[in-house]
Amino acid sequence: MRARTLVAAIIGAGFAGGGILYAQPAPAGGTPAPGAPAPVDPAADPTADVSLPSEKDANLSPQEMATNADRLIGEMEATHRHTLELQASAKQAKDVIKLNCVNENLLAVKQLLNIADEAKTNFTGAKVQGDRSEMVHQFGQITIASEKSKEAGAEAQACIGEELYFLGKNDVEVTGPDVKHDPTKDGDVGNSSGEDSFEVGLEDPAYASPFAPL
Amino acid sequence: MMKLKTALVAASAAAGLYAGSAHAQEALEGHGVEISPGTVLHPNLGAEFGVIDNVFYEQDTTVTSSLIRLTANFAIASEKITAEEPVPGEEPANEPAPQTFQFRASGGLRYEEFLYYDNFSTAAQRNLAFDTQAHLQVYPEGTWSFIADDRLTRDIRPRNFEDPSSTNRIDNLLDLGLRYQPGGRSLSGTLRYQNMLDVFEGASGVANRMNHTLGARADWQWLPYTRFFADANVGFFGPLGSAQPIGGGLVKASSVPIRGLVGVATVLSEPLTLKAHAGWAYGSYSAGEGFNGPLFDAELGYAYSPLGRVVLEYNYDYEDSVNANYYRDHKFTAKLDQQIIEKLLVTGGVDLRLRGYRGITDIGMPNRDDVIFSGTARAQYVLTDRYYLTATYRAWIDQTNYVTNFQGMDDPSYTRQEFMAGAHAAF
Repeated sequence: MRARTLVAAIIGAGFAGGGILYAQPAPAGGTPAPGAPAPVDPAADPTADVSLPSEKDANLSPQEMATNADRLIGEMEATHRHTLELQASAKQAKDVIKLNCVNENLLAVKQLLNIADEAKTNFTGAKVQGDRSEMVHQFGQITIASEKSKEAGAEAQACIGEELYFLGKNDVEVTGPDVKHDPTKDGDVGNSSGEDSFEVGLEDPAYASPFAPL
Repeated sequence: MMKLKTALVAASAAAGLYAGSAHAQEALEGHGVEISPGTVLHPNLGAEFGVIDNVFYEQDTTVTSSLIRLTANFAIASEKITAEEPVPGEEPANEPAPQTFQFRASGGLRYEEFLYYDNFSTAAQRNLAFDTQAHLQVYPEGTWSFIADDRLTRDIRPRNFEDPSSTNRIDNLLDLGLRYQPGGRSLSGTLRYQNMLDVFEGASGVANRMNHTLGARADWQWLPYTRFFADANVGFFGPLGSAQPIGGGLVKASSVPIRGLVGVATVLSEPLTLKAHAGWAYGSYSAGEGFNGPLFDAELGYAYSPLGRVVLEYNYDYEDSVNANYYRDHKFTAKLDQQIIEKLLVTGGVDLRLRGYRGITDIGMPNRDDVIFSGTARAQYVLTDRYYLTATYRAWIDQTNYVTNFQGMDDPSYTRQEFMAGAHAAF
């Protein structure tokens, strides 16, 4: 009986101590313990940011989250429009395989955009109520939807196989009237006598018997 | 009075008027003979039999004769370099390098044997005529380009009276030009020189001529089928050798004519084309009348069907003359091309000129006015991819009230007809 009470007391103390330790702020510039790996300073190495967007954005103010949410939704709408252009391109090319591929990703983009719109609505409601945890949750939904939308847009682009806005070297083919007799190519253009150069005739001696023998 | 002899009589050639026929639109062009890499020769041989009803261009005592005409024509040209067809899925080939030069040449020989052997004057008209042309352009795509054209012709023509001699002549027309065509080649300017040499064989009594012309020309290709142009030139015309080969005969006066014109060639609609120019010409002669008046030309072409086209033209111009100082023409022309069936091509045309000779010296009145009409109808029927048949009818009418007072009075008016039919081979 005493032994059980002791174990329970140790576990309880352990949980309590662990919670206290976990809640301690990280030492600022403190000397690491001997044998421990050197801590990574995010300010010293920007490429070392390994935190998830939701975790990072959780530190944003409500107004910053609202601004970023609008920006992300705007990017998703742009992705939606671009995917629609890809769909039109596939239709014009009458390539069923490409069209099915683009449609599949277009559907995903649309659904993600709906999710983001709904999350933005909920975010606004939470902001009004001052519910920060709900705001962070909805903002995380928008962030994740935006990332998934970018992935779907990139896959739709891959369906077409090339960047739509890069047309490459242009081959301009001009379709004009069928002019069989181009007057600018005639041999007599500007010929002062008005005669085709290959048809011009010599002036004939025009006198009848002026030099006839007597 | 017409003398109709059946055969065995020679007559003369109607050479000059047909000199250009070597370059008429032929029904076939053969595969040709490659004489060097990129250069192909296209020969064309023909034999025709027919009749001329007035060998000597007489008003009254006409001589009619049958004749055989043998022709040999050729055309040769440098190969035009074109870009290779792109292969799907592969990078397009590089643009072909600009050509250093382009040339083409063509020519024709024509021998005529008149079968009226009982008439010596007619039989003596057998002769060989030729007509050759050459064109060379150096750096055709360059900013500066040099152009040279030459046409050498031997023109055969019986006299205007029954006689074994002829008024044969050698005519050479040389054009040299230096063209400046910057940028997209839509604008160009050309300085040019022209030399015209007109030499009569034997004692024809007509003065030889050597005419030099210096000119400047500008072209503006405004649209793909619209071009404007302007030309100004000054000539130094005069006799070559004696100005009066025979005492009491024609005298060739020298002159320095100046001409200028502007014009346009364009497509009004898909089947309708227009060419027109207007300008002014001034020329004074060392003796006799000169000219000072407008120049005008308008040509309207209409393709009334995919296989047919008609062209109407009016032209008003002044030209240096072998018969006078100059002649002035009102020219009305109508031409027709029609493909009847796949193997039958019919062409035809009429030409009416109201001609005024001015500055005639010594042999009569100084002025002469003629009404000159000519008509041509030609049919070509294709037998195979090498052989074709032709039939040609030509008519000339020259009516004037002018008479000469040199060595007797004579009316120079005449009517002349010719019909020829034969076979040709294009190699």
